[in-house]
Amino acid sequence: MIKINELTKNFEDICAVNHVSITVPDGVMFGLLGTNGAGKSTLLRMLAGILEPDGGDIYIDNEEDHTHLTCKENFFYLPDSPYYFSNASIEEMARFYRNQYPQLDIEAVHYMSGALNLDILCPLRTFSKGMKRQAFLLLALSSNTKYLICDEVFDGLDPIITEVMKNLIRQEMKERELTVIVASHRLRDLQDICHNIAILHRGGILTAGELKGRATDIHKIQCVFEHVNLDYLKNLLDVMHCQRDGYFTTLIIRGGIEVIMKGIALADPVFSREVPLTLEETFMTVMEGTGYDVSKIL
Amino acid sequence: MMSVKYFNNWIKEAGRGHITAIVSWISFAVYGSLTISRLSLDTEYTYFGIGSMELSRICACLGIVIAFSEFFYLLQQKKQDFYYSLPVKKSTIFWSRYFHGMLHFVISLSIVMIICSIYQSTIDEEFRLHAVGYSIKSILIFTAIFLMFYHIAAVSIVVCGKLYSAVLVTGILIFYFQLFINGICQAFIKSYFATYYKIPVIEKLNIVLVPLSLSGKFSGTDLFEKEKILTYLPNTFYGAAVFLWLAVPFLIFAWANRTRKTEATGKVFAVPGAERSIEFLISFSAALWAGGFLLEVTHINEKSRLLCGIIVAAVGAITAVGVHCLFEWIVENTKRKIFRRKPQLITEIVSAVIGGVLFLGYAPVYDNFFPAKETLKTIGVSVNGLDMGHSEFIQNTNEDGKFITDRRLKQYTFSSEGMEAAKDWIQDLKKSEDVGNYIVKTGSQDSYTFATVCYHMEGGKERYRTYSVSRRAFDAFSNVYNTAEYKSRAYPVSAIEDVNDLNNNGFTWSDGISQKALKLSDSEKATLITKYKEDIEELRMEDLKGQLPSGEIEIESQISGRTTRMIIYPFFGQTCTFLGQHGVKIDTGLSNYAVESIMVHNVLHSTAPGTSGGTIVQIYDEKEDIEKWDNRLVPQKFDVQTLISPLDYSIDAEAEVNEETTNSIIKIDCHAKLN
Repeated sequence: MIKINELTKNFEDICAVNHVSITVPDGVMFGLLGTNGAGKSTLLRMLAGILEPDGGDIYIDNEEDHTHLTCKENFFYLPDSPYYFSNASIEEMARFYRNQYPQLDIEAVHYMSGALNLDILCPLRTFSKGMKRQAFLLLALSSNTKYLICDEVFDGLDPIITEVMKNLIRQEMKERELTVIVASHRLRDLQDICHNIAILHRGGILTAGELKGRATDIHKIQCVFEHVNLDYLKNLLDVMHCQRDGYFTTLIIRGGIEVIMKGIALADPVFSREVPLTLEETFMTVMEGTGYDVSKIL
Repeated sequence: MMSVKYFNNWIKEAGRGHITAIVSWISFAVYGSLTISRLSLDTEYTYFGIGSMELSRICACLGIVIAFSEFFYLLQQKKQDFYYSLPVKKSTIFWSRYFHGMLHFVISLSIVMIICSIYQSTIDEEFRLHAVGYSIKSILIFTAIFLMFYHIAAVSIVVCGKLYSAVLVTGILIFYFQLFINGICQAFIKSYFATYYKIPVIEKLNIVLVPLSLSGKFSGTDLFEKEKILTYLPNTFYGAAVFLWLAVPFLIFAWANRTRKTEATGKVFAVPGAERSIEFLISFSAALWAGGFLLEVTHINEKSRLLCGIIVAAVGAITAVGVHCLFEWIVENTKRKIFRRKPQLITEIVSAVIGGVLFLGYAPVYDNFFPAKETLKTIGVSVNGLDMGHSEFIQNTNEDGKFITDRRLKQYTFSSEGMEAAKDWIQDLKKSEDVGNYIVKTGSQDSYTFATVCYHMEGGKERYRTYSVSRRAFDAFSNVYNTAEYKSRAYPVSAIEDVNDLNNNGFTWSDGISQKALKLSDSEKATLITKYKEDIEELRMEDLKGQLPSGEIEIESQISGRTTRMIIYPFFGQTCTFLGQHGVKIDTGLSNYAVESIMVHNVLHSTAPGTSGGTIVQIYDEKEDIEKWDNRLVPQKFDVQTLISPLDYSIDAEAEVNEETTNSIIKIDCHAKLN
């Protein structure tokens, strides 16, 4: 388990990470969401031991010094643009990583490379952006570390490669208790894979945790009215969002489902039913009132 | 705990790029091949280790190049993130690279030294005796030179976050003191200190603070004799300086690497202390340089010292502010506040002003220096133009003639009556001149020539001064000249105590045109020397006026091969009589020889605006023309008193003389006597 407590990092007079506290349970995929400059990469670089925090603590499996070598052997940091030696191939990088991560499984590298049609002996510099990302992801997953830290790994990739990479991660998480922390500035990259998401804004954390759980008293209702009186509904219920599309009216309402359905019944709908909230809608509702422009991360 | 195997793995990793290996091994392979080729041709003046300037420079360059190759990752954020995210300590990466660079250098250097040593041993018997010691000393000395530059470049990279700033700081560390001493301090010293010749402390600082000079000195590149080079041991003083150049940067980069923050990569400076230090050095030096430059260009110090001080201080202060602001703009501080470091700016201004004013304030103390009697051990005096030919006089008057003055200061060093006379003469000289306000050397119309003095103090210190000498003061120098001590330096034969020492030496008479071996017995040689000494004893400086030597006797040592000159003037009664009795014609000149032709170069100087000078060359081969000239011409060899007995230096002549005894044509360079 990773526990981040009041973590702070300043770059001269700019506060990049401002008293951030997060807990990442084992075996989950944790998303860090935020616009460019929100502090995601800084947070991940501190977690990977690249940057030293100015304040706060990072506990990895209750270990105080997360930069200790035995602790770092449990981490694999995958940046958005991974570094590789000039003319190095996947094979050569695997051998290098093997020296750093003794548990790295070379056979797994060979197997996954074959599955993804990546030439293991071809220099990485000849690979496309997506191929490089895949190559490093398979190296990261083969290193058999307990934690994988990914920074914007899906950024700029086409949907097919994104899906391939997500599947690789899902499969590895299924096989062993891999914990993944992934940072992105787009909610769509994370919504179908992350269990927990934290939003960073100007170095501070706006919200964190299991969002769907936090949105239990928010419901999305689709209705068809002959003569709708929205003002009546808004007075009656805690309507957070209302959208009309022809005959259909979609309402996001805070409160207990029974009370909401009774209230809608009073408006005499032709048809009404509850539909599940998308992650975006969950976000919008959770973030309501914080002043954060959610559209930036959609 | 870090294991040796773990560290070795990282040393191997450090060599991944192979740049260090390629640069180091190729450099030494090329150097070794060329040196062996040269050794096959010459083992007398070719040195593969100590004494080799080329090797010294190669080691310096390799130190810088290998440091940049090894520690370049500190300037690359992506690579640094990659390394630091791995389960390895930052210090392991750094120190494994440090040792990797050093190992490649030491191994390749050692191999080349051993190969060269083996090769030279097979062809040079003299070297064989010193082969092991010379090779080991060479490896140690050049490794130390390499480490000096390796550490300088390493410290520059560690304290900087960008390549250009690291290169700049390396350059500053290597050349700063050289520029500061020669470009800034010398400008002030030359402008303010009227009696300046040289300051030994500054000369030493110019070596120990300048890594390139120090490496040359430390590796014996200023030595020329093979025996000295083969048995060379570095001077302790310079050894200590090299150690400091090794240790101080080492301690700084070891500390800076621990405190350096990863996020500093990409900034101009990664360590704030380094930024402040470089900012101070640049602002302070630029301020002083501006003041010194103003002095050199305007010579305002000759008008009013107070005004000069005020102007130099003002210019220095303005420059300090300007350079400070420029520096702040370059380092791109996030707040973009140019005046964010006010106390430092004030310190820079104050330091620059104090620096400039210190030179001005110290100038009178410097110029009026005269040692107390009990502190003075010996005194060296060199009067420019005295006991000196015209070409040497011209060379010595110019800036490039320092080596002549240095040689003469050693030759004319007095400790007894000569010293007393010289002291009196210098004090008279100082009284007659307002020291500090006159223009040294020949710049002043009142100045006839100049004299350079070296005060050798008790305790070994030396203080040099140059004084302007008027015509009257020059004539007054006869009080020094006429002492036995001075004559023993000017006429070394007169100082020989045991004339029997010369028994086996060869004596040759020369009238400037031909030479004749003197067939003298040992007793006759002794008599000649005794008579010469008596003539020298009676010699007065005043006697030399208008007199030219009749000839000279060259005494060649059978042991050392060195030649000592005995200049013979026509008024050396006893010597001339003795030589006459032994078949030497004293009063011979060109007119006594069969002159075939005379080529006269008449140098014309521009005398009026709009006119230009030039050289007229005339060749005379008719008997009448030759007769006109041969009485006027004096062999340049006998131009030995350019101020006391000057010749017409606008005329350079070359006489072709038929030497009947050898039946050969000899060419004699001459000047004309003054009409």
